[in-house]
Amino acid sequence: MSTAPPGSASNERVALSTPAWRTQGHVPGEVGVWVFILGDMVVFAWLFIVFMHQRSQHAEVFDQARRSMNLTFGGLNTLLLLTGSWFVVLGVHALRRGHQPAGKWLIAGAIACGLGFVVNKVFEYHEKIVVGHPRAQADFFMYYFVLTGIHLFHLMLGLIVLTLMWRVAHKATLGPRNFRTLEAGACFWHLIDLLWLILFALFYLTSN
Amino acid sequence: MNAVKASGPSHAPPDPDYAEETSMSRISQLIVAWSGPAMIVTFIIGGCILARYLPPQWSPHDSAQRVAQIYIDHLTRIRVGLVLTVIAYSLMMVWGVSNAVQTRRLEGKFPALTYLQLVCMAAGTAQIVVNTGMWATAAFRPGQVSPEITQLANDMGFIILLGTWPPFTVWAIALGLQILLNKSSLEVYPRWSGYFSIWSGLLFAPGGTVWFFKSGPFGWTGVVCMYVPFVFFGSWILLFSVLTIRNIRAGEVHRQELAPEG
Repeated sequence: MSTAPPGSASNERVALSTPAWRTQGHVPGEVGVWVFILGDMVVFAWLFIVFMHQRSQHAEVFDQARRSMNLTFGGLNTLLLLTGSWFVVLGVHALRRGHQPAGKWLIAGAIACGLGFVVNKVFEYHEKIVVGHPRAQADFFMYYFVLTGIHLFHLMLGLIVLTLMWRVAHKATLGPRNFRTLEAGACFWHLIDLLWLILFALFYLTSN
Repeated sequence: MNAVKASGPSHAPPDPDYAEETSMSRISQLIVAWSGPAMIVTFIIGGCILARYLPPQWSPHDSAQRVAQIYIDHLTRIRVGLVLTVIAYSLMMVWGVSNAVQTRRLEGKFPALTYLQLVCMAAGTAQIVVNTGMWATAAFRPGQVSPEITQLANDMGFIILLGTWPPFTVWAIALGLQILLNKSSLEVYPRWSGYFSIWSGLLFAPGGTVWFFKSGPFGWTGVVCMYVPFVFFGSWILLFSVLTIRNIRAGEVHRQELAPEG
């Protein structure tokens, strides 16, 4: 619609208002995305502390419930997310070197890993709901469903982000704006991976 | 079309229409932006200090008798607090306009994300005021009706208060997306605030656990269910109030610099 003529005072003011630190060094993605990532990690850390506090008070019951978890589902999901994160790293590297076909396929591979996680999780939830659990273990499973549910919600958002990255990878030429999107998206996917590693340890592995 | 007039070179003589466009929008935008902090103060006085819904003086596992007894013992205080709470919700609606009108400058003739912010703000307010209506119903005849009826109205209040997170989440995401998808040469709000907005929006979601749990961190007295959404909603309102007021004071009330098509 309307654009200011080049060199207008308003444009100069915008350029001057960009602080110098923004143009120096390199932050993966951009500074803003780290507000989101570090903030989200703080909130999850808070949830983990709440869980560990509860666990310390009912250690025996929580451990019994933990032993009823199916390590095959948990292990497979860990493997899927780690592989997905690896694909994303390789994909962004390939795109940076100009190997676009490889980049596209690697990001598609990461999407496939994420979808695999969702399918696997649905089977796991289904099994847990059908089999049920003793009333005494209700607390453990409350935390299990809520925390992994919040994580699954993040993962769904991550899949939208990966799809966006996949579309960016199809562009004829990739500019700095596109790499900002790719890097920010990759960082978000790593966050999902990292949070799962802690959830996996808390719900499947930690014993007394 | 206003935008074309306003974005001319600055050394040109001031356009007479320019002053006419901005003279009122500056003060009106300041009024709507300040209603954010005003809302928080009103809510703290009404909802927290007087009616004591936050932190809740009722627990989800309290007996009906106990719930009714608290209403009977503190009737006037609760009613007056609820009047202030419902006023606070209206101030939230007023405040919602301040961001929408600022980020409107980033969008062209068909501002989908601005509309989305406005409908979510209006729908969210319309849903959440029902919660004060429920609590006011509980405080209407406690002791005259059976305690279970008072308990039901009290439960409904909390379930509506925290269970209506979706329009608020969509509202915050719409605002965040508007900041992040910006292709104009203007930066109405800094990019990190866009991420902050989306992140806050996601953190209103734990309020939804109120429907499932009667105790612990996911019930309405819980740290996750009650305090995470409230702390982040409050921070979100304060942050954007500060950013908006700063923009308005710098005279950034109507300027648009839209990117060319493509």
